[in-house]
Amino acid sequence: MKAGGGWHASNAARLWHATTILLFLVLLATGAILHFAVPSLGRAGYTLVVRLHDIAGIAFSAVLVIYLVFVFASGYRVHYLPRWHGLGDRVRAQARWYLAGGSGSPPAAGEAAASRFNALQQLTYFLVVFLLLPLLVVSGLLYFLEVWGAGAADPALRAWRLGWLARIHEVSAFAGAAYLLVHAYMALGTATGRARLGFMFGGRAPAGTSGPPHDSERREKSP
Amino acid sequence: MRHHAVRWLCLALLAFAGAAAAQDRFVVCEACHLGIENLHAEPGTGAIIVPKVEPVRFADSLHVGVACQDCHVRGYDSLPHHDIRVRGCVDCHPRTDAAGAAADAAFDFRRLAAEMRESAHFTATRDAFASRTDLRHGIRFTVLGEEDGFRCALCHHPHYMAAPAVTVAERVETENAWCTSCHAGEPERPPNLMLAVEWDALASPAPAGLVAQHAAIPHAERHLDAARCVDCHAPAAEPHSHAVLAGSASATCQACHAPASRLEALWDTGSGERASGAQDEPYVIGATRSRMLDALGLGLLGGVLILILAHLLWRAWRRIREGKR
Repeated sequence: MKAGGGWHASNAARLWHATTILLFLVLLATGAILHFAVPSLGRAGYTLVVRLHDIAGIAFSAVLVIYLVFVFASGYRVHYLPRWHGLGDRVRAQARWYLAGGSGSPPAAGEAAASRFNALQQLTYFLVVFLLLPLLVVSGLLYFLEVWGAGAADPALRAWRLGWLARIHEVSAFAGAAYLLVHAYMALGTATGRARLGFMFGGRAPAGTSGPPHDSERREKSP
Repeated sequence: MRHHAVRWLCLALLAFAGAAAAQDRFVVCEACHLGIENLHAEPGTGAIIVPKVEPVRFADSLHVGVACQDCHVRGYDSLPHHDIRVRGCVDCHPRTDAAGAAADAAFDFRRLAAEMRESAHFTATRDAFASRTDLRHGIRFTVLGEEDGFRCALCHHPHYMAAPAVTVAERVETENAWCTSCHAGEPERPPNLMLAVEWDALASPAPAGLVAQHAAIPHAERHLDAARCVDCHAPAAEPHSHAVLAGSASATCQACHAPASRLEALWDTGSGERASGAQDEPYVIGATRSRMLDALGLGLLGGVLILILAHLLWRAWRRIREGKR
């Protein structure tokens, strides 16, 4: 939505985005501490980290479920579903544009009026929102339930399940961390991106920037 | 009527035992201590009590071939027994015969006994043993080979000495039972405390239960199920350490949740292979993680960072070059 010469996002969208980032960072940090057995944490410190990871994990799961319900109930899912025809060419063109520093008109501009995302964003977000994050959340919740005692009664079966759930959780966590690095770089690595950071915090981007993230293809005319 | 029957039964057993004593040293003690369960009449009162030694469990124990008098060496000629002396475990262990020596090789009994005397078990209960008198019977006793006080047999019941557990689950259950007989929520007086004084002063139960007692540990119930008490409450520097620590001095989380986990001692069968039931890959966060996945994951993150850095440098170089034009 553009108003007064700048772009703004709804408070709900910004709250969801900020909550997701915050919880994801907490989960990454606490997960890494537990997984890599960072020494010199006392018993109280280790316990705190475990409880933080448990609580943040449950909160992250709830936020994701709420978002997915919103996405499917509101019809917002159309923005995430890539148009498969010619997707490879469009993704390559978009990637070249990003690699070149994002100067000039983006190749997808004006092309996908039905979606707020360009082809590369669509493919990436589709994989992240519908595959990576659910995998991360489901493996984490199942792991939590096994540890909590709601899983297998047989210790051997429980150990086997925990091992596999932990591996799936670890792989998806590394993938999520890699995505976060790229996402942050692409959002902040350009002048427009830095303006978008203000947009995420303040809800408004200054006039003259390319608009909020993800909206390069769908710019509503201001009244 | 029933009391009379039991008394006659005991007298008959004693008479039989006396006659057979010359041929079988077991029988004298068996008459009272290893008799028919729930039909033992206490001398003097005739009260029916559970025998001191449960015969079925004793028959299954590794010590079934050891004669009572091999350990109970003095004070048993009179009823009630008086001024008794009992040999300690380290008077026989490590054994010297070939088979016994091989079985005992994994245990440094002298060190274990010394550790026990330094442990919280010994030091915290010293006063409770001071009188050396059983309050119920007024029995004075002496344990040979050990200083007065806490001793091996209070946890490792000599009459029910079982073969080492094979699976991890069995090992956890067996070894934790040694501790929970005194430290559970509502522990029962263990039968091997028949000679101890003031068991109530010795036992240190957890009235709210062990889970509540360990509430500071995340997922306490799972820890209590999957690990032995000594994995946290004893030092790991020496195998089978008996230097049991006070609760506040127990191991840190990273002692188990790190690559050189002390749980390896639980999983290790002594043959260099993990015990069956531990699974090929027991999972303990921080301890049993996949090094290959770690390397791949860190490699992925490192690669992404390098690509980002390279892209930044390329953009900077391009900007400089365009500026020169």
